Amino acid sequence: MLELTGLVKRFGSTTALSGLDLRADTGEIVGIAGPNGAGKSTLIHVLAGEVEEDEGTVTLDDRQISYADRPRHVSVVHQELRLFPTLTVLENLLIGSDSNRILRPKASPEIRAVAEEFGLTAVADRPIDACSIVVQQLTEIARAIIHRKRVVLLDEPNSALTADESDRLFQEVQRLKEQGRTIVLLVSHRLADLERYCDRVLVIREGTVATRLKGRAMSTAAIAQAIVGNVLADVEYTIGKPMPHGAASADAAIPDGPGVAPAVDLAPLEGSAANAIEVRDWSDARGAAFAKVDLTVGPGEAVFITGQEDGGGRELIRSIAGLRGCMGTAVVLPGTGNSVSSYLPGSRTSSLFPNLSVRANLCVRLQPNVIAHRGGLLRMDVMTDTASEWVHKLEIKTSSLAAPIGSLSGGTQQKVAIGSAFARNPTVLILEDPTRGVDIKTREQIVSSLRAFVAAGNSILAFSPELDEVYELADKVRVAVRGKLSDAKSIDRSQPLEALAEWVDLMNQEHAAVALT
Amino acid sequence: MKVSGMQSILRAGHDLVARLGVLLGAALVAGLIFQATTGVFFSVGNFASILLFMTSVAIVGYGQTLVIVAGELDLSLGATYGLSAMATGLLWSAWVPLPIAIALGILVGCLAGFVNGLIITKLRVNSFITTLGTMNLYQGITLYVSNNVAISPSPNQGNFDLYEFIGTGHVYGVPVQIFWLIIATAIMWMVLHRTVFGFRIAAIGGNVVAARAAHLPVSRVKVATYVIAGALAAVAGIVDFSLVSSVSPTAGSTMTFAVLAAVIIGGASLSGGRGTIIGTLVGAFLLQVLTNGLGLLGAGAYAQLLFQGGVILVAVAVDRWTSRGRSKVEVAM
Repeated sequence: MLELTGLVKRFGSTTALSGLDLRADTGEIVGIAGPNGAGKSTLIHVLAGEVEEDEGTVTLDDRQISYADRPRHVSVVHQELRLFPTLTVLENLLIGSDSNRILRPKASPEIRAVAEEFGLTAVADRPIDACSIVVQQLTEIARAIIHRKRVVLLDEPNSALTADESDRLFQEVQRLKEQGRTIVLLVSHRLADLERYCDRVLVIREGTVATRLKGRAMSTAAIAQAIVGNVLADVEYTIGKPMPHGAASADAAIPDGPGVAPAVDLAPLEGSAANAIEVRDWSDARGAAFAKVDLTVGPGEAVFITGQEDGGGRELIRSIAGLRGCMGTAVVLPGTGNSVSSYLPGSRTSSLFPNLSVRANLCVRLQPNVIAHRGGLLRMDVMTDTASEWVHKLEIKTSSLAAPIGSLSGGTQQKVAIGSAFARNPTVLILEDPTRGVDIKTREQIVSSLRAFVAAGNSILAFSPELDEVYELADKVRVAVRGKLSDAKSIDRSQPLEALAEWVDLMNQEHAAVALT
Repeated sequence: MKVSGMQSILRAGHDLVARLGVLLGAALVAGLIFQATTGVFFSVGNFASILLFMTSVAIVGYGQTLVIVAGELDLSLGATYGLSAMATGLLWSAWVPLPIAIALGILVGCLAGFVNGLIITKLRVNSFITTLGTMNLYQGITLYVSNNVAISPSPNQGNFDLYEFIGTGHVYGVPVQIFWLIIATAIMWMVLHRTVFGFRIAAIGGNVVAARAAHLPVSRVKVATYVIAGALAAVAGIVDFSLVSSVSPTAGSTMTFAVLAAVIIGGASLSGGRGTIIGTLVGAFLLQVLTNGLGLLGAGAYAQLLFQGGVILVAVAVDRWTSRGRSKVEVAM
């Protein structure tokens, strides 16, 4: 049994954990949810032995585990890759085991079996940095399982996985549970996962466990409510269901509801009927990620590409963002002519600068003629004003503009990333996974600001494998399968999410069949 | 949420001030020890000596700081220092007017930097390997063009007064080095901390992937940092050429290490994205205090090298030890 008592951790003037108590039994899967900045990340760092608590104890099987000892008993699977990029997948699984042998360890049948379960056998000898995010995450998880730690902490483990892979992941997690030797803690923003796989859910707010949910009380609605507190009490918001107050039409901006962030005020585009993006016969220059694609995004439209990680969707939008070589006919390319476009990568490690402050991160994409005088001298007042503006508009919680970006919680960092894309006042946003790894409240704020952006006449082209994200944000969706795009389908928010999921499935099957012929 | 600009700048500067305080404190302690053991450390003449020799290390150090903050490294700066000085000396002794010889010497420095930048960005060779190679290349060129003979200018070459002034002149009783140092510090501080260019250097060094995603001109900025570093090395070489009234074929061989020591003591991170001009200045100062004191004590060149090495290790260890457990508050901008 794992027991945390009275954990306190302060970072300067901020108290991240304020006396947290937690108990988890062997063979249990305990879910941990909570809003941005509630202390979930700090809790993980403390348990993993990455950060030392100021007060409180961590006890495992009635024995107190000191900070230095924790890595021996606790394994953490993070959101972003923390493995060894130059080693192969198999080597990443092996490393750290058999530390008293002189010769390199060979992969035992057991390890190979786990690798097989995760579908890693095919890529076992490939360097892990040449593998997709999917494979990297699966390796992380397989590694935690192979090294048989008593406590396994999953920190948003499936944020970049497809539904199928996510299912497979949780199959493994449940197998862990059945073996009855491990304690599993699952930190997640995905309420559906928490409801489905956890025995109990603990909701953390302001550094301590505020609500404990179990059994029938552990529904997604209840968890959502507990996370946000009373703020959303009279709004039935669950991921996947239509937004309240009848905002079903793609043209209407999300109206203010209780507790929903005010729609961001963005200057509307002067009436333009021209398309924001129009490309024909677009093909990948470097590899064969996509070939002869026709894509059009109109003004005031949000087009989402979805699909599996190997479908070519990500590569396609990166090529339109100008970051990947491509060939074809560009009738209208964003970022050329009068259009200003901003591209935001999917993961924060690729979009934020850890050595820079919040203000600098918000201003880093701005053109020199905006943030500097003619000779190149920076205009700190303009930078401070711009940064203040976006901190206010997106409700970014930070102690000061000069605070290092690393001092902010994950969801807040995502808001800074989005703010930096908005700061250029673009007419086209090119995004990947815009609400990945953020909590409900932040997600709502981001969704509302993106919808307001589109309602003002601007355009979005995005890739997201997450159907609920697509459902909430897109006007049209196309599925990328094996380098080709399906026809577009308009999102109808009066239909449930399941209808969209069925259609996507159908597209996947149809196009996979075509690709094979 | 109200954020005060001034307040936030003060808070961010707090950790830099703390670091500088520690370094200056260490310099003071060392000074006291040297004074106690030799009796002559705290004298006007000795302070002048410290200033004279720290100036070139600081100036080259500013170039190295730019390169390191951009996430790269330049091991060839010592060789560039020597090559540029030798070029100036040779041209001048071949009756090229001194001001032109100086300008050409600086141009040599720029070219040397440009070659580094080109190889690193276009051929994508790792900067350590590249500049290790060019270090040897430039040293070789220096030896070759000088025929392994030092150049000592004779007074009948034109502009001899100007020549003497550059490195040995005095203005209002103070060595002219102080003015070169102040000017260089002011300009490079502006460049790194107050221009768009400097902002981009910090971003690129902090996360080159994000920098590319943000469409920053990564290659162009990196090449520019190398060119500037080469130019600064040339300037330092020429000042020292005047200071010691000659340039030897092996000039600058110990400069690379001293410059790296100064930059690292000053707080720059070898992984990129972090580093300050003032930090490098104070690092150069501390280093020179130690070198100077050891010299007064009669320690040979080997002992001095030993100490410089030790200082770097202590500086890095102290830095790691004081930033354990707290989130790094020093930000690049």
